[in-house]
Amino acid sequence: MADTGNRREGLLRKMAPRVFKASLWGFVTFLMYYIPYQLLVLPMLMFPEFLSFKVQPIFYNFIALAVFFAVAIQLFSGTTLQHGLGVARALILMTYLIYALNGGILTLTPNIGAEAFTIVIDFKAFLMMIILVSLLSLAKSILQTINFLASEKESSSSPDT
Amino acid sequence: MRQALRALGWATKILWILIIFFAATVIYSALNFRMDFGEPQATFSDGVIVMSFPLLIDNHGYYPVSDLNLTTRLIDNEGNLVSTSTTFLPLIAYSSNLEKSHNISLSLSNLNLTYFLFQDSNFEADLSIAMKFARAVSLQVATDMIIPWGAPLYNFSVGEMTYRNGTGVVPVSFENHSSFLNVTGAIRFEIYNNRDEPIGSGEKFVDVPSHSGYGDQIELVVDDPAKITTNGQVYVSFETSMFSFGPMVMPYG
Repeated sequence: MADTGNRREGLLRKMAPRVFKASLWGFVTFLMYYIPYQLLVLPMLMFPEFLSFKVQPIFYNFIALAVFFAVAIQLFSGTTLQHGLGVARALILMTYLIYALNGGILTLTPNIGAEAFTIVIDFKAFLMMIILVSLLSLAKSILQTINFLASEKESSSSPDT
Repeated sequence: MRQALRALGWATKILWILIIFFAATVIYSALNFRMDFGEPQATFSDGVIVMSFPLLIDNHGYYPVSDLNLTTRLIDNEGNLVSTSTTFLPLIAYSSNLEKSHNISLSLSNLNLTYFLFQDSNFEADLSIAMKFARAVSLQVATDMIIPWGAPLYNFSVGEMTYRNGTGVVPVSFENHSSFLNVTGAIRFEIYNNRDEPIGSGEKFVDVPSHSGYGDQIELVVDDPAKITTNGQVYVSFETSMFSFGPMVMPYG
């Protein structure tokens, strides 16, 4: 009984700082995406007619995904899963951006007064920059995984252990 | 491996900062780009109405705007394309103002004059503006507008001919609803009786500015008063400084 209690206490002691760190990282990630988003979108809110393509759900989903992965990665830090989640994050966020931003071409059809407008914004070049940086993050995550697995194997095959 | 990972980490962070900075400055620049149309002016020469719209461009952003293309297509009441006009500006430097005219030409020969000279109508104008911000983000805005057309010879009517002392008198009236065309020139009349025999002819010089009415009597030289009947046909021709039209056959009486 005492052994089980000690084990539980040990697990709690081990997990509590991780949960705290993960929550902190989640909050920091939220701020990191939310503040630039507000800075970018606030000027656009002056023209609500132009935001008919529901820009907010797109960004909120993106922020939710980013926060989820930030928390999960911190919770599993020091394990293979941490690096696996890093690779998954890079892939999922990249795919989500391409899907949500319609491949870099947005078509809006706002009505301003009695006039109906069609606005087409082509920002494929900009999306391409984001994808390239995301690919860089993906490469970094894959290298981190390889590095982690190699050091794990090294430490397990070391005669000292 | 650790050095490579650290380098990749820093590169990713720096690139993200640059992308956010670029996005913010592009949005700021786009919000500081103004394009206004001034008061249009209409001119007329060789059967073509040219509506000139002064285009006032103010680029107060951080990036140049390139490949600005303004296209206007005019479509008549039957859906026929009657005019296409394009204004292209290859480059508008950042922090600069520019003024350029966008000319919409409308050739009267492309119009069904039998309809447009006598009936008020509407043209559908398809307006499309395309431009590129910072050579990276393209923007295209398109809209439809209705441009009203006022007929220069609206409600043209010929009254009953009266005869006195060898001269026939025909009352004529119309309203010039046009904003672009003045009716300045001659109206020619040839009158035929109900047996299709010529009764007489006459001509009247008129000067009817836009948005004004006309009502007068046209005198005709009648060779043989015996030919006059209570009804018949009038062949009307218009020869003005802006358009020529006719002969148009109208009943009288």
